[in-house]
Amino acid sequence: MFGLTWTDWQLWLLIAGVIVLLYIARPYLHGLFRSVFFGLAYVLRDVARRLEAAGNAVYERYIELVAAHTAETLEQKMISQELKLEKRAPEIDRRASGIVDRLETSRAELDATIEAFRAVDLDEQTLQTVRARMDENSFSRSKSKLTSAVSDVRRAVKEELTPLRPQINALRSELKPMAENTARLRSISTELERSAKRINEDLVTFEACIHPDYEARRAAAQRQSILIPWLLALLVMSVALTGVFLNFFLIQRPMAEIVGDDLQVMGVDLPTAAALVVIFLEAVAGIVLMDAAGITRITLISTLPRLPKRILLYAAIAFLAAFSFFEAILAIQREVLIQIDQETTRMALGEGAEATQDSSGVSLTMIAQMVLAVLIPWLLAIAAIPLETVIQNFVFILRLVLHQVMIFLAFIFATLATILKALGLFVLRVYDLLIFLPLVIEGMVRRVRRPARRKAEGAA
Amino acid sequence: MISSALKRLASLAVLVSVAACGAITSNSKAVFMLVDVSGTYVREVPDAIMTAKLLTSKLNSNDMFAFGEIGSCSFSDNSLIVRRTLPGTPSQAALAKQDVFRSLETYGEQVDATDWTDIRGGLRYAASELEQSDQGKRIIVVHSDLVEDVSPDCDTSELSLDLEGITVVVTNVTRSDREASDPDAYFRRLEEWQALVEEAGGKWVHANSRDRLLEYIF
Repeated sequence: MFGLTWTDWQLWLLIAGVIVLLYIARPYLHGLFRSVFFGLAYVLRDVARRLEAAGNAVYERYIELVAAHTAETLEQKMISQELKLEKRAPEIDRRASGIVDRLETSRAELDATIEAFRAVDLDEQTLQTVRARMDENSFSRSKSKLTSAVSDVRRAVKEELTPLRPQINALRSELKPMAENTARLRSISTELERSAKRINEDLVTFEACIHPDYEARRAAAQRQSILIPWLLALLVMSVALTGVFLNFFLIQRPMAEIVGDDLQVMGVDLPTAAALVVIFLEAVAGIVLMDAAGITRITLISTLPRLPKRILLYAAIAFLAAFSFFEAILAIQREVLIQIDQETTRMALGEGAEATQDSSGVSLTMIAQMVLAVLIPWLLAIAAIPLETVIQNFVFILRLVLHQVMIFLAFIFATLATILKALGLFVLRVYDLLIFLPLVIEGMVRRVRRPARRKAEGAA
Repeated sequence: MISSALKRLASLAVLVSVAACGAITSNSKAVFMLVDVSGTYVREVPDAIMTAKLLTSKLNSNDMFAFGEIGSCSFSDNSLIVRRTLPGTPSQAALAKQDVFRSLETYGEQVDATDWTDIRGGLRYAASELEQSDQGKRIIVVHSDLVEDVSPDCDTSELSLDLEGITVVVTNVTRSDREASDPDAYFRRLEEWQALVEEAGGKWVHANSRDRLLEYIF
């Protein structure tokens, strides 16, 4: 070290000098190290605390948003259920009244049957018949006479029961409709019970979502699934986008027939740009249609009064129908263009136009293209339904991700702060270890001085 | 209400300025094809017509196509065979292309070889024709062996050329038998023409096959 070996006294003198210097500078260097490490650790911890607070605020906002959204959805659902029930109530009432009336009729008929049964006094009639026969044949006790009497009794009973037969048949015919009506009533009751249960569940969730207590709102919001509906909506949207892709290729070529193909808009060929514009317009018409129909709430259309909404609904339908028609025409034009181009290419290659197939009339491919062209604008309109979920849940997911990122960063900063603090302590300990000898001497001196000072203080 | 109207006006102004700043550009082309019909090179005319037809078949609506021959005195209206600007719609353009094909085929059937080769005159004629065209991209396709041989009656060897903004694509530059023993002569010829075109402000491209030619233009 510095050209000195461990056996050189100069080296030891240098080390001693450095130790003395370090001992003298100890309060200042300790202060410096504390400021650097502990100060930085404090700053990092403060950042971590702020990040955590911000992350929690983001989460709280997320919970509030999800709760509000769920409450809104449930409110709409309950209103629609209420309307449905209101609409169905007269029908249910009519059905129930009809069943009750039929049951009443059946009951009246049963009452009449019971009365008829009551009117029959079988014991008395039989007894009288037997007595009369016994009186007539009092002197003959032969077996044949008794047999005859028994036959008479049987006949009498039979005659007595004959009027009851229609009543029994009526009773039998009444029992089946009664069972059916009872089953119908039971089914109505079950259906109403199920609806009531569903409404009750929705109501409970709704109440939890608008509960003044944050914990209740959080519990309700945490039960709501955000990711799965979003993924499903995304899947449907992807399918719709595939349709858009297909539609684009169907209309891009014939669009040149309308707008020409010699211009470019920001580097994109004009037919391509025009086809994209048509698709965007179709998508907008679809969104307006779904919003005006009350199926989605992407734009402010859903908040408009009934009449403007109705006007927009019909306008969107008219636009989509016009787009369907327009695309069908483009599909025909596309086929025509393909044929002319093929013919031109054949002529260019010297094959002659006569090699062209007879392409007059409507081919199967043209029909397929036309069907697609007519359907796709409406499919695009339907794609507006998952679009709402995609946008809404994406915002929720973004907030959730932001919360997670902030919490993670807070954790990283807190860990760094802890590491820095530990590192600072380690550096201070190492420093003290290097100058342990002067420190020991200082301790000894203090111990010696303390009793002397106390004595002096006591004497004073 | 007023603010929304102002916003709309501002967006409209942005759109107009974007359009003014070159957002909308034209990709139309004007192609003038010059075909050498002098001497023995006249046997290459069917090949040139095939190239011209393929080239025309790939043009878009509003593109311009012209076909002229390099003969004894090429700076002449008689050397122009076909000149056609394609209509604005693809279907009409396709029908116009078919008309061009018919004209080219008719020309191919009755072409006669000329004694002299006036390439400069042809280039000057093509350049003056293209100068008047509205198309954004201007191309002269020269289908020749680039061996110039001007007649004393029509000496254009000192003719000045202005090929500013024009791309000159030479194709089917055949090698003569003499050049088989001296390949450098072939390349020297090409270099001389390249220097001439570039000095005149044009861009020089040598397409050694039909595919390369079509690939370059489209």
